[in-house]
Amino acid sequence: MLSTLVALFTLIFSSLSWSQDRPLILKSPENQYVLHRKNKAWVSETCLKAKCQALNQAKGKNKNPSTSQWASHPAAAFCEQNQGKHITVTRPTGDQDGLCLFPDKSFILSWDYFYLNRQKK
Amino acid sequence: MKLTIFIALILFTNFIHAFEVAYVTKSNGMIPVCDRSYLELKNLPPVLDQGSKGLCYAHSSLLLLDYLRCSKTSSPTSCYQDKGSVLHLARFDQAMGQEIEIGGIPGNVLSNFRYHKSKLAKEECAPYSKWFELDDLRREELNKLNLPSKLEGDRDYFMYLSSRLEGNVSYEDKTCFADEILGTGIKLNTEEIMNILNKSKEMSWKELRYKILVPESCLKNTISYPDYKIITYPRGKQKRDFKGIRDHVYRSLMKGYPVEASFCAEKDSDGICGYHSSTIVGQRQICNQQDCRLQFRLQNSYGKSWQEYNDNGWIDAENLSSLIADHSMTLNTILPDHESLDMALATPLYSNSPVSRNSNQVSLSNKGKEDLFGNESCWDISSGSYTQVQPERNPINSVPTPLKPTEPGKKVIYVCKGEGKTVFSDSPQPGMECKVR
Repeated sequence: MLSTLVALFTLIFSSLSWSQDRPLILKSPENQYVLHRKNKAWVSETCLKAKCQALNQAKGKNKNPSTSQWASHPAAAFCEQNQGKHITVTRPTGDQDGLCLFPDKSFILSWDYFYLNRQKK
Repeated sequence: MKLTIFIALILFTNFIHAFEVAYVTKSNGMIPVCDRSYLELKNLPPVLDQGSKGLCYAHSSLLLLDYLRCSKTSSPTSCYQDKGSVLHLARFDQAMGQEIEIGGIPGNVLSNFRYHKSKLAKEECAPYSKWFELDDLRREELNKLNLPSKLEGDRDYFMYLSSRLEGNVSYEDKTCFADEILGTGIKLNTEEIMNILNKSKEMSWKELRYKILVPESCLKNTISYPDYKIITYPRGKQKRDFKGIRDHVYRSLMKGYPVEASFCAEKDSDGICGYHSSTIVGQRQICNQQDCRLQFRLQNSYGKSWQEYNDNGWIDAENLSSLIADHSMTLNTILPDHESLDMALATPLYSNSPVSRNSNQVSLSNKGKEDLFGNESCWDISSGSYTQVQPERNPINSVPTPLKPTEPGKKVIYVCKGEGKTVFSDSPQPGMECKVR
């Protein structure tokens, strides 16, 4: 009985940690991007062990997206104002999302980048 | 062993479910109630991401059109895989011209598209991503020359290309541009691209953009959309206010169609608006001890993460309405030709009073997608555990029947209003408008 319970809990918690650590795979027409969870954000593997531009704090003066007659996509504009390049990628569900690519090849979900930096205000 | 795994799976599902319930009820001070105003469309197209281009108007129009085309088919998911080109649709912002403009009017797009027989090039033939690829080429060039890109326009490949082609450009230079464009995989051949470049002086740079990004060959194999009519709010003498917006949204959702909404999304330091267009796909009420608020659910063109960061798109309806009404913006719904909105319908709402004081009913927004007409799951938390109950829907403008009792002997309280009085009682009061609490 005890062994059944132990097996049961192990299975529950291993399933839980598996679902949390499972990488997020996003596709663009040309590439596939694998993202991992770190600091409440989905980032490239390069950010897991070393410093990367994707997790650097955004520059203060560029924190707010510029405005014009037509509102910009806030996260895309914010990414591009901070040396990033916003690209559209597709989730396995078919939903699209934005990825912010940096010159050091690191990347992060654009809205993660936006909200990580906005929270620091 | 099989039994153990089976039990483990059940426990695991329950654990996740309990976590989900706890998260939803704690995520903000207000909780969704089992309200009669709850409506959420199902079979929606995938969420799109417009990126840094101001093509929100084409994205929101495309959602309405794709929903009309696919949502009622036997397999909406496979229908949505056949995607219409957002770049081609953007061109219909103009009645006759063939340009892709940053910023546009969804009402114009929908009406001009219908006028031009509602046929759209396929996204795979005229991909949105090619515009970004060409802009990257321009950016790389600017970086090589070490020139600062001061203006947004500096980075636009087509503005640059057009200005280069205005002068006397050698054949070799044109070939070089053609190679650059063809290198991105745009579906034009060398002859076609050279023809466009040779005629570039006769067209604006926005037209040049259209001709290159939406090759003429893409118009030979198009997606056909069903005939539709456009219902715009406000029309004629309709007042542009919260009540009007609320009722238009309710009538559209009740009929089973999303609503395009244009509004002032942000203001700069001089108070000048940056406009945006998005789509309303649901409505609900959320309540706390003091207040009830109506919410709309947006399916935005800012990517799936925006939905996730913003309560799956649920936003305050009154705030959005003032961003629409105060800036003279409009709503658009498209319907099949033979259908119309029921203009007699008015949004059924709890009043802005402490409605859930005696209510232990909680509904989960992400559990409520089964029925268009609001048969969402409701959760009775009175006993300390979560028990699913089914609310009964009430006919509009009639005295509502109580929700199924959640506990034996539990009292149902009616709040009745009339002649300036509010009466709380355990039965409906004759001659007064009553709602269940």
